Amino acid sequence: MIEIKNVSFRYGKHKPLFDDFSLNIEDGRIVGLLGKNGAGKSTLLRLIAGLLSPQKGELLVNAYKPGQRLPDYLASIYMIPEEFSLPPVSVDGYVKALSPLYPDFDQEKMSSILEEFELNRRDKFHKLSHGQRKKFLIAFAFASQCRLLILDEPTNGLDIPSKSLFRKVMVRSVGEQQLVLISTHQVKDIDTIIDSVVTLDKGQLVLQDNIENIGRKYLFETASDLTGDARIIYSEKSPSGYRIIRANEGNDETKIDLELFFNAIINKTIY
Amino acid sequence: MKQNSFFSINRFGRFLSAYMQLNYKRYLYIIAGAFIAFYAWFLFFMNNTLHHFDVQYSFYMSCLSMGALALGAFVGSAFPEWSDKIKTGNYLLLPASTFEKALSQFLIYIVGGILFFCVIFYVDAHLARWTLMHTERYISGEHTIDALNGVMLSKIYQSDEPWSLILWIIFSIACLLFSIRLFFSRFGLVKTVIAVGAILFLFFFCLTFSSFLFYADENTVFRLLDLKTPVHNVHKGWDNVAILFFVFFGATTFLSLCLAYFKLKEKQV
Repeated sequence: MIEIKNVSFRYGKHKPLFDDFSLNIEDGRIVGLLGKNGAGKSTLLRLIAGLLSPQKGELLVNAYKPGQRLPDYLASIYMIPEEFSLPPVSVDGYVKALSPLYPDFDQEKMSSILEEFELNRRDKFHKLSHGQRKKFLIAFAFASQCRLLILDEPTNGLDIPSKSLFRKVMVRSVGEQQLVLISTHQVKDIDTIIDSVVTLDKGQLVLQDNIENIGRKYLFETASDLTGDARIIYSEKSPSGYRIIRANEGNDETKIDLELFFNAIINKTIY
Repeated sequence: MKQNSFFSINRFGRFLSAYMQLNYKRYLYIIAGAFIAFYAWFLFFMNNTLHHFDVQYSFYMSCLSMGALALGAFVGSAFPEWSDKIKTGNYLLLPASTFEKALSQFLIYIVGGILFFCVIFYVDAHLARWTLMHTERYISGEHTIDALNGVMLSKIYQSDEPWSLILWIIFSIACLLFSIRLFFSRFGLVKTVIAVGAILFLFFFCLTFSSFLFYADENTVFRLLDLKTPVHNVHKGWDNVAILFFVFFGATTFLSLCLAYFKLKEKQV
């Protein structure tokens, strides 16, 4: 569980990125962290991981203060940063070296995910493409079975089949007690797997809601024109007409268009 | 069972093992490089400059001094992840305590560095001598090379100061290089060497200046490290100047290691 209370953070003498920021996230969820460039997503993930410390306020993750970087805490989280670097060893060498540091590491799960991602344990990292190395890190993260997984732009660099595989593997691998935080700009890559959305804008929490509630409140449809429907909250032109968001006044349900929803939030049409 | 957050021998063992498994190639290359470089160094200078020295242990002394600089450069390159923000982040997130991370680097770069340096220096000195002794110039008996041994080592060091003080100063400077490294990311080694050089220069300058100032009758010309202070033997070869050095470098060691720990603990990326 992540509890952030009145946190303030700034880089050096810059303007505060977070000022009196609060957020609570329960365990057992896959949370999509959305926001424009510079909204503070990566900084928030770094604060949660313990790579940065807030200047004010309280930040607790599973009752640990991440900034203290206590070993038990570090063994309970795994972070895939947007930009990463792997040592000049083989897949197997890395797994053998680092898996003993994670008490719940599941070797069988690692092997099965590597197989699905078509990665060979004998492959050397320097011979793998960026996407393959990212797939390895995703496999390691899921096999670590850490209570908190922090994934910063996990689908960047993955090809289309791999993105689909990533979603399948994630849904199958994440346990009920785990919390997965996924920060991404490519909302379409994760819209079917997340069960909660947190949206940031300029260091402010704009929205925190679960997917069920969003589906209950809004309908996501396409329309050939926009005339005569007062319930349309937001619309965007598309090749086949318009993608629209309407208030859900009945019990209808539609597939959530997360990208459209995000654009509506950023344009302050919703919330 | 919840393990100690500061130090756990099992966790430290796992961490050190993981670190070495990921980085063993780097250290093998450094050891192999140092072995070849020292061998070539000995071979060249033994053959060309050894006979310019009045006594052969002076030659070994000059080699030892140059070797100590190489060792200093190795110690100053501790925390290799620091040169890259991404690698620093990865390193900080490895499940081990700050103390265990600092200790692992201390063991690799200071303890391991000094041990390997002594072994490589000794083996290369003998290997180079053995190689040259099989060349015509030496077979004929025209020249000879004395082997590096314990007796020669004792002759190398001819100062009145106790051996333990010199070892203490070397260890202290190594600790200083180790901790100052944590303050720099890009071109860390160069900046570390410059910073440590400046600190040592400042210390010796202040020492000489104080001696010049307070013992004006004895010190008529200001020359760095030319101290003409009254010397009192305190205990078994330890005089007041030796004790001053011991205390200063002791404090430097303690502060350096504390500084390294807290710098590592407070590091943010």
